Amino acid sequence: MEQFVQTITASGIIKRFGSEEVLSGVNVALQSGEILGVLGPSGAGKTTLVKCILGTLKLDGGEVEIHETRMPNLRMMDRVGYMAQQDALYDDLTGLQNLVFFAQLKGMQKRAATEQAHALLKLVELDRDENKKVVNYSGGMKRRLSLTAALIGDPDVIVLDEPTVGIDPVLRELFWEEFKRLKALGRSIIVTTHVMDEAEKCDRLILIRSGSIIEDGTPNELKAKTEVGTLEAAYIASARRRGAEGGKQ
Amino acid sequence: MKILVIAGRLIRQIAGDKRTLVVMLIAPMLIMTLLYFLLGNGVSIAKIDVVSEDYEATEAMLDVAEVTLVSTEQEAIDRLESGKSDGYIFDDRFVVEGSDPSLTALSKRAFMQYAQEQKFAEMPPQFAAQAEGMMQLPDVEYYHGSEDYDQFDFLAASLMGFIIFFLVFLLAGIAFLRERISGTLDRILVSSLRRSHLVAGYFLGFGVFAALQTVVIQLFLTYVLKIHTGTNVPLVLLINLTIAGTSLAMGTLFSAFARNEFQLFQFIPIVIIPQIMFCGLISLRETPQWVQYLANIFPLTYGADALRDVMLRGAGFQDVLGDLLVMLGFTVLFFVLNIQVLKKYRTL
Repeated sequence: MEQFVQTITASGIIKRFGSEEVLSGVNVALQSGEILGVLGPSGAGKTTLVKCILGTLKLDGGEVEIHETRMPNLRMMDRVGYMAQQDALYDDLTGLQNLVFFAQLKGMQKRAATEQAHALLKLVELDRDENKKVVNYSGGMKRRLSLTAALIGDPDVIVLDEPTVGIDPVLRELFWEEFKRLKALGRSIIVTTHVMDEAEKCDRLILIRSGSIIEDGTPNELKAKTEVGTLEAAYIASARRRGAEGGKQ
Repeated sequence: MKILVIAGRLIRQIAGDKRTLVVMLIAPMLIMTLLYFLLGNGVSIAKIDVVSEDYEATEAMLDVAEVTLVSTEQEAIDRLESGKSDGYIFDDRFVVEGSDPSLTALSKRAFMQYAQEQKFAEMPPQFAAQAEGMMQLPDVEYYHGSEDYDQFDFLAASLMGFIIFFLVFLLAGIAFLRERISGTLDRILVSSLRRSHLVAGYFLGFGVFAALQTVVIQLFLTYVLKIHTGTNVPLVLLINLTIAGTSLAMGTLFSAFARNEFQLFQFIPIVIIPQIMFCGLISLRETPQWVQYLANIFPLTYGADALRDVMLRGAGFQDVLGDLLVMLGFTVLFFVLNIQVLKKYRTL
């Protein structure tokens, strides 16, 4: 396995929407072969954070580097895979056409793109439906296709925004097996979630609340901080602690 | 090359969508055909009743009116009220229905003819013949066009420009809007795709269909409706593509200010309707000066003007170059604005 290297360094990210500060000085560091879980209630700024890291949102402060290149950088964009909360697929194209299109945008030649698309579709068991239009896909099939669309072009940074929302446990298992396979290949993965048992599977977690990181550590480290020893308790406890501190200020 | 990837995807999407194809290719033919029958065979003579037992309409009279003899004024009034006639003549009274100015004008022409004939009848025959000769229209030479041009010939040129503008605006606007709503815009911008290449890809993809649409409309007008479309087919195609380009640039730009399809449709009264009024379908000659200035801010004014010049007046490339450049200017302006607006999705 290749040596662990720092792939993402985000320091002091500040993002405002109007007068509201959505992220206030967030730091994120990620190595190759690491799965980072971004945990937090809805509205905490998880999606904003990943978009800031991707470079699709303009930062109001701080900077993001991927492979020591300051973002946003067009060439580096091709090395990032992104799966949004929405499926973000073209309904009137087939699954295969969707993948080949996204691959070509990443700079792949059509032949190589088609080959890789086939392999990915097989992986998520969509190979038999690859020539069906996406409009005829079920919700779970769309989710799987959306994941492969993030993986096509072999990105070494993979950003997944709530990838397992609304899918059944079997499919979720399949997704996590895939994430672990990618981790073993040395990819860096960022997963946002608000599901606790998923958070357990991450190498490292950041807990985010009201635009700030309130905890940062391995799942075990976070659990050790509470008497109950579950991640859920750790999450609630630290959220309360922060809330109380906020009240004193 | 990524321009081609975007264009290729759009072409695949549109070609696979029968509804869109029908709207782009069949709908213009339908509209043109309907208007051809509505405008081309428009009302050209009035229906006039004459309260008389023995009036015999002359040939000159029958050219301007369909004459019916009635026996009493009351009968004439009844027919007028039920819409069976546009006016009646009772001795030296000339009554017109009066609600539709165009029918009023036609009726007046018939009244004039009737009154003249009555006066000639009272004159000595030699004076009458001389007077009748004076009333005849001298030979008219046609600088542009010919005798057999009807109203639709004149309107078809502007209308073709408008249909292309409208359909491209809607289809491209919605396609671009969907890209935002569905989140695919976010996804495709996480790549080395340049914002300008994205919009350029839209130009290319929709350009292919706009060209196809233009050719279909042109062939339909020329060979099926037998309308005067001029001889310079490539130049008409070029003008139409320029119109389509401006429309596409506008549609994709305006889609940025709509959150859903309905909001995009709300732009129609602001962006589309004024262009119908100003593109030459209605004459602006007698409108206030400021209305004429207003017409100049709408791209279609120039496109329709160029189409009329080429299709009806045999103008060449040099003559319409000015119009084309103005539209090109609009296109570049909207294109650049759109790329600026897209910064909201990715700053680079």
